[in-house]
Amino acid sequence: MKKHNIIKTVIVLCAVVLMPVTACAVQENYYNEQLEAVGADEIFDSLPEQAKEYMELAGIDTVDFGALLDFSPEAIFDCLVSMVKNGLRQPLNAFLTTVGSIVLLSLVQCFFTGDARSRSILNIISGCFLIIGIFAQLYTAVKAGVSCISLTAGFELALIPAFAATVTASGNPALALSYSGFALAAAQGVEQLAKAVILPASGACLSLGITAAVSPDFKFGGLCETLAKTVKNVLSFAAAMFSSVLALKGVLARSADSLTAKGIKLVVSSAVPVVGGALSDAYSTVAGSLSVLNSALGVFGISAVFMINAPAILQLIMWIVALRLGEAVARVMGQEQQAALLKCIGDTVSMINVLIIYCMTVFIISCAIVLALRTEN
Amino acid sequence: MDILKTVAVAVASGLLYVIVKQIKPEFAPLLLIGGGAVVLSACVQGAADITSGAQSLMADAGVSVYYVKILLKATVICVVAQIAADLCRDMGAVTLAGAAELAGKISAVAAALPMIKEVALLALGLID
Repeated sequence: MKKHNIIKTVIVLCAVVLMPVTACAVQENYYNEQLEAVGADEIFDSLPEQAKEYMELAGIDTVDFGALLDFSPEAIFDCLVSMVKNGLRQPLNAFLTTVGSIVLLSLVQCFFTGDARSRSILNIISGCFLIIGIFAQLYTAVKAGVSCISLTAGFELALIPAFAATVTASGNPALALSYSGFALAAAQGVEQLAKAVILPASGACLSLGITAAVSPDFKFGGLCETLAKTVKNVLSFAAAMFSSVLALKGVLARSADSLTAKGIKLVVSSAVPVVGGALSDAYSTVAGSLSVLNSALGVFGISAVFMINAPAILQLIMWIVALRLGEAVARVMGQEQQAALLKCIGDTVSMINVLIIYCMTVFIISCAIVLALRTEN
Repeated sequence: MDILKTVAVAVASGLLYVIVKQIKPEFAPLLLIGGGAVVLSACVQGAADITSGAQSLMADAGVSVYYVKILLKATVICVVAQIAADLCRDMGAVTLAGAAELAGKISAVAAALPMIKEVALLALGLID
């Protein structure tokens, strides 16, 4: 009997030793998996080349929460300095060209101080001379600025669905629904508005300025200024309306999402015996982890849109400064017609710059509103 | 260009014109033309220096030399037309003076036509 018991004990011990069930916590990269699941891992590749370079310079080349938390203001400052350096050459050249042209025109008109008839012909030729001198360089800068609108819209089309997916997964489906529809419509609407209305208006404004330079009898300077002011006021109003409507919709959606989340936690904790409370807390944890991804993606998107548009905005600002300085020089030298032409061109470039800033700001504000309004589970 | 000599020639021509006009009025305009030609020929070297200097300065400022040449050519045309018109007025031929001015304007616009065409194409391109 005793021998039988010893044999049974040995057999049990052998079974325990030889047939273990290995159990351990498998470490998975949950963050990257979720990133790939929403399609946000390729967001960086959808950026234009120049924006990618600036993002890498700023240290923001992945949708990584840790990297985004660690990036320093110095990197952003270096980025901005690099943008200014790259964009300064053309406006500076244009300013030198403008000053040189105005000095030459003043010199030429000195020969005709008493002869109004010859001066009228020379005024026309002088206007043409100044336009040709600065326009070739300005056109490339304006074209680059305008292309940013299309690039931003294209990037938003890639980012908004992924961003909305993370918002939904983090427990805010109603907010995601209201945001994605509104933001997509806004992105497309702004691009169409820019292409169909604002840019043709800018072209017409520049043409009027050129005509006024060639034919001084036509005083189109006031018209250009009025058009630029009107566009700025309309865009400011549209931005305010967009932000307000999105914020109001977001507040309502947040209330609904908050109620939904609380309902789910109540049902889980009540209906599931023993581990209901733990499951409810687990739901909050998972939603919170996706919220981290959502924040990272939102910040990445905001940074990317900024990097797409900031070089063009900064360069156009430098162009506006160069044109205003040229206008001041023209007035000092008594070249009122050339000053009016430079003012008209400056107003038009300013209008285009406001449009680019509006396109960028609409997206940034909408993203920021969603990040701020998410339900904390 | 020696400005004192040039001015002296101009003043002397003017004085001779006044004297000759009283003695032989039909030869007086020749003195005007002759004196004007001498003064203008003295200016040619200075004008050439200004032109080359302006072209090099504008090239450094980034302005195309082709358009600078057009501008200076138009200026010279206007100056020549203005002198011709003033000569005709001095001789009492006001109609001829107007015609000379018109010819000068047309020539200046014709010389600047490439520039005007380019500006017109720019304006049309912006509208499109």
